[in-house]
Amino acid sequence: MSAGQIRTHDPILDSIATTPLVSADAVSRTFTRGGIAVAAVRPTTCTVTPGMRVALTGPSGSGKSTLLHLFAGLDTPTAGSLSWPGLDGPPQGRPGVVGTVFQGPSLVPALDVVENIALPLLLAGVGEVDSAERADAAIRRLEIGELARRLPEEISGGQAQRVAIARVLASRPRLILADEPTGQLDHLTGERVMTVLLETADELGAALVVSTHDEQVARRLPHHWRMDDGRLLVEETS
Amino acid sequence: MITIWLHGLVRRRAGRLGVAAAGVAIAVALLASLGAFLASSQASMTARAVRDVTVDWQVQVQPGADPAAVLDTVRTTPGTQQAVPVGFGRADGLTATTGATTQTTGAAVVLGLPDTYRATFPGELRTLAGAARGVLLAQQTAANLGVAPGETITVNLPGGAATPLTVDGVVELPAANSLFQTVGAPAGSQPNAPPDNVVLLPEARWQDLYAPLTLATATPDGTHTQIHVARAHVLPADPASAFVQESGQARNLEAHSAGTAVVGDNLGAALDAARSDAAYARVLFVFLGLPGAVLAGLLTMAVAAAGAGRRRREQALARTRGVSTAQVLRLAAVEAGLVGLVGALLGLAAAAVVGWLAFGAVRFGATTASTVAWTAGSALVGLLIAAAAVLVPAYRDLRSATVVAARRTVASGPSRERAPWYARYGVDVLLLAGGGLLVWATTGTGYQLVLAPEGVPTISVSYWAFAGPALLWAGSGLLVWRLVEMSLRRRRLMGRAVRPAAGRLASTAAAMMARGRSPMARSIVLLGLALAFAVSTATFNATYQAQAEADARLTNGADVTVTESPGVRVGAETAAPIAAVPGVKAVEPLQHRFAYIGPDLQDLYGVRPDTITNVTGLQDSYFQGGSARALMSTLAAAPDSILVSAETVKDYQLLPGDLLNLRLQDTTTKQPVTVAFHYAGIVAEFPTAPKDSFFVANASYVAAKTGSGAVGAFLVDTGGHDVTGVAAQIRSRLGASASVTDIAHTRSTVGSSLTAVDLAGLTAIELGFALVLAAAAGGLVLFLGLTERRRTFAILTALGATRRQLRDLVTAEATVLTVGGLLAGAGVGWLLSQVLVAVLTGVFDPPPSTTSVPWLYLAGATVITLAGLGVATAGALRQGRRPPVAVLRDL
Ligand SMILES: Nc1ncnc2c1ncn2[C@@H]1O[C@H](COP(=O)(O)OP(=O)(O)OP(=O)(O)O)[C@@H](O)[C@H]1O
Ligand SMILES: [Mg+2]
Repeated sequence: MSAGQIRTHDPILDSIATTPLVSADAVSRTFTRGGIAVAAVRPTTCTVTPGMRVALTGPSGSGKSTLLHLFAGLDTPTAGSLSWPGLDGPPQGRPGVVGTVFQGPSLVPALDVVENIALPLLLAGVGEVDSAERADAAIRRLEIGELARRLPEEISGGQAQRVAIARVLASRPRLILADEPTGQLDHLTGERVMTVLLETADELGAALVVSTHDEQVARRLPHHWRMDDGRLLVEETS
Repeated sequence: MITIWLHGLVRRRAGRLGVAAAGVAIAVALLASLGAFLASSQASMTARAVRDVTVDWQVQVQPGADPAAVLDTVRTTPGTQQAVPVGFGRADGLTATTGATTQTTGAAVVLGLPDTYRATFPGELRTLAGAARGVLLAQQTAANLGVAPGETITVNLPGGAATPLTVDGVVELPAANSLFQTVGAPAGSQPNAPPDNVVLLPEARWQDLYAPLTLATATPDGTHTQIHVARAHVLPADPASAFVQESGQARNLEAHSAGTAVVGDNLGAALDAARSDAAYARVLFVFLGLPGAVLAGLLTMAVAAAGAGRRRREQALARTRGVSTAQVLRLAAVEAGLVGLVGALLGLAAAAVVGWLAFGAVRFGATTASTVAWTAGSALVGLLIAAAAVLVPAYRDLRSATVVAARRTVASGPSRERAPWYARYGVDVLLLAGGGLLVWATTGTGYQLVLAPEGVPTISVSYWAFAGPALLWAGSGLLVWRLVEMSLRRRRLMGRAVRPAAGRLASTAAAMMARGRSPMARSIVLLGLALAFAVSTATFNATYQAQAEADARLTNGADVTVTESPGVRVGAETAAPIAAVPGVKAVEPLQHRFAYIGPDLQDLYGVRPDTITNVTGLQDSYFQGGSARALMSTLAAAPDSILVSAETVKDYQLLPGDLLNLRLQDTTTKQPVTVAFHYAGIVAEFPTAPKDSFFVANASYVAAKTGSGAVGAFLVDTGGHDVTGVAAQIRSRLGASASVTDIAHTRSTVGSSLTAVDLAGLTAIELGFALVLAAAAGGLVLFLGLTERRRTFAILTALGATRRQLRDLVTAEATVLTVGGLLAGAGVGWLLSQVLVAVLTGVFDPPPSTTSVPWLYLAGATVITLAGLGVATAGALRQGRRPPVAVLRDL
C-alpha cells in the first residue's frame, strides 16, 4: 500500500445505509507506452453511493478521466478490484445503466443529433417510437432543438457536448459520470447545463460524478474529490 | 523530413500501404502474365501453323522451261531441305467395268510421284485400302468407279490413247486443296474444290504415259511438272514477321529462276492465316485482360480512398504546423512511389510464378525486346495506378478547403440529398445506350473484327469493336452505382431490408449506410464488377470450350466413328457387331453418297432423323430456316425433304418447297438415277460433313430411290467414356474393312483458329485473377470500410452495445454489400458475357447458338467471395474488440 492511500469513509454518508453503486478497492491503473509506465490512477479505495453529487477536480493529467472510465466499466484496473453492487454487476454490455459524458467528441458521425440521442435507448431495447419521444424530450430540456437534424460535423464542440449530455439524460441512468461537461461552454450555458444535470439526477434519483476544472461548477456539488498525480483525496462536504 | 515521414508512414500505416501495394501488384501481375501468355501463344501459333503444312512449296515449272534446271535452282536455294519433282497430267476420263456394268468418269488428274515422295511428305497421302505404292486411286474416284484394289481401270489420255492399269491401292488425299491449287493464281481465284478424279502413278509409269505427249509440239493443257519442297523452318516467333520473311524467300526464288519457276507458297499461306489468329490473341488480351487490370486499379484506388479521411486529417494537421503545399505534395509523391514500387516488384514476382506454373518458364515475352517491353510496361502501369490512387486525391484535397474537408467524414452538406452528377445528367444511361448501339453495329452482318486479307502483309483490327464493351463496362458500373445510391438513400426501405440481420438496430444500420453510402456504393460497384469480370470470362471460356468440343464432334461425327472403306458396301445391319462392343451406348448408321446437282458433285448424307441426335449433337447454329429439332422432324415427316448449303441455295435461287432433282448412283445398275427432293432448309455444318457444300436427306428415302441402304459411316456413342478403348476394340473386330476414328484423337488435331488461339493458358490466368479480384473486392473493401468505422464501434461499445449488437450492425452492412454485389455481378456479368461472345464470334468455330454457363466455377467464385466477406466481417469484429477508451483516445 502506498503512503498516499487515504481512508475514504464518509461519516455522514455512512449513516445513510445504502449499497454503493460503484465501489473501488485499492484500484490502480498504469499505462505502459513505449516501455515507460505511467501511473494514471494510484491505488485508490472509494465508493459512489446513490444520491451522491461529486465534483472531481485536479490538474490536467492527474487521472480524472481514467478514474471515470474505470467507474463506467470501460477500462480495466491494473490492480485492485471494482464492483457495482448497487447496479447488479458490471455495466458493460448493459446500455443505460451508467451514463457517461465523454471529455472528447463521442457522437456517432453517421447519425444526426436525434439519432445519436436515441441510440443508447435502442441499444437498451427501448422501442423506436419511445426512443424518439425520449430523445425529443432531452433535446428540449437542453434547448438544442435547432440542432435536431444536424450531423455531428455540422455542430460546434460545445453543442456536441450538450448533445452528449442529452444522450445521457435520455437513457435515464442510475449513475451519471460527466467528464468536463462544461469544458467547452461559455459561463452562462455551463451554468444552465449544470442545472439540468443536477435536476435530472434528482429526478432519476441517480448519483452524479462531474470532473471539472471550473471552481464555480465544483461549488454547486456537495462532495469534493481531488486528484493529484493519480492519488485521490476526498474532501469534507461543503 | 521525408525520411521521418517515411518512417512514420511505414510504422503506423504499414497495413494500409501494404494493401494498396497489393492492389497495384494484382494489376501488374495480371498484365505481365497476360503479356507472357500473348508472347508464348504467338510463338506457338507459328510452330503450329508450320507443323500442319504438308508441302512447304509447290514450285511450278513454267512451260518451256527445263524441269531439271529448275530442280537445281530450287535445291541450291538457301533453306531448302528436300526437293522432288512431281508430274501433273490430265486424262479425259477414267473407265472401269465391274460385273456387267461400266462406269465412266469425267476429266481426271494423273500424278507422277517419285518413290521417295511418301517418306518426304508423309501427310500428303493416306492409304485406305490395298498397297501403299503402285497405281493408287483417290477415295472418291474409287467410289465413282466402284473399284477396289486388284481391279482394273482404263485411263483415257488426251489424243485418244487408252491405257489399262491395275489398281494397287486406294488413298485419301488430306491436303488435296493445296495439292491441286492453281500455282500463281491471285488470291481468291483458286478453284473451290479439288478434282473429283485422281490417279497416282510411280514416276516411271507416269513418264511412260506422258513423255510422248510432252515431246509432241503442243503440250496438252494442264500437263506440267512441280517441284515439291520441304523447307528448314527457321522462322521468327511472331506469325506476322514469319510470314513476311517466308514469302520474301519465295519471291526471291522466283526472281532467281528468271521466270522459269512460280512458287505455290503453302508455308506462306499457313503463316498468312496464323497472322489473323495472332491478331485474335491480341484482341482477346485486350477484351479479357484490360477489364481485369482496370479493376485492379480501381480496387487500389478504393483502398486508398478508404484511408482518405485519415490522410486528410493528417494533411490538415501538417499544414496547420506550417508545412507548405509543395512539401505535402512531395510527401504524397513519396508515398505513391513507395506503393507503386513495392506493388510493381510484388506483381512482377507473382507474374514470374504464374508464368513458371503456366508455361514452365519465367519469361514475360518470347524475345528479349518483348520481355523488356512487357516488364517495363506493366511496372509503369503499376506506378501510374499508385499515382492515381495516392497523389491525385492528395492534390485535390489540397485545393479544397482543408479544415472543412478534415472534419468531413460522411456525405453531408448540399450533396447530402442530391444524386451524383453523372446520374443527374444520365451519363450511365447514355454510356449504356452508346455501348449497345456500337455492339449492335459491330456484330451486324458483314462485320469482321480481324481483317487479314490473304497475301497482304498488313492486318487490320476493327477498334470500334472495343468501344462497345468498354462503354458497356463503364455504363453498367455507373448504373449500379446510381441504383445503389438510390436504394441506400431510401432509409425506410433499407431499414426494412436489413431488419432480419440487424433487428431493432435496423433503422440505425440504415441511417449509417445512408450517410456512408459513397464508400458503400463504391464497394458494391467494385464487387459487382469483379464478379461480372469473373462471370463474363468464365462464360466466354466455357462457350469456347463447348464450341471446340462441337468442332471436334463435327469433324469426327460422334464419340467414335466407323467409316466404311470405299467399295465396301455394308447395310445398316453391320451396326449389330459394333453395338455388341462393351462400352457402346448407341450406334447410328449414316449414309454417304455423292450427288450431282447440275454439273456439281456434292456429298450427300442420309440420316435417320428420329435417332441421329442419340449419338451426336446438332446445334441450332448449324442450320438456317429452323432449329435442329424442327428440321429433323421435317425430314421425318416429309421424307423427300432435303437440306442444302447456303451457297447452293444462292447459286440455284432456291425457295423453300422447290423441287430439286439430284442424280445419284443406283447400286444395282451403277447408272445415275434422278431422285426428286424438295428443298426444306439450309445446313451449314453436319457431323463428318466437309466444310463446303453438301446435302442432308432422309436415309430411308435415299435407300428406296437408289435401291441400296449402303451405309458410309456408323456414328457410335460411348457416353463420352473411354472413347480410345472402345475405338480400339471396334477396330480389332472390324479389321481393315473400315477406318475407326475417335473424338479424343480428333480433339488434339482439329486445326481451326479456335484451337490455334490456345485459350487454355489465358483463361487459367484470367479465372485465377477474377477470383482474386472478387475476393479482394468483397473482403478488402468491407474490411477497410469497417476499420474506418472503428471510432463508431468504440462509441457504440462505450454506450453499452453488446458484442451481438455490434455483430448485427456489421452483418447488416455485409449483407447489403453481398446481396448488392452478387446481384450486380450476375446482371452485369450476364450482359457482358453475351456481348463478349457476340463481338468475338470470329474466334468461335462453329459460332455458338447459346452461351455456356460454367455453373461450377461461378458457384466457386461466389463461395470464395462470401468467404472473403466472412473473413473481413470477422476481422472487423475483432477490431471492435479493442478496449474502446483506448480507441477513443487514439482519435
Ligand atoms: N491510453 C493511454 N496511454 C498512456 N497514457 C495514458 C493513456 N491514457 C491516459 N494516460 C495518461 O494517464 C494520465 C492521466 O490521464 P487522464 O486523462 O486520466 O488525466 P485527466 O486528469 O483527465 O487530465 P485532463 O484534466 O487534462 O483531462 C496522464 O498522464 C495521461 O498521459
Ligand atoms: Mg480528462
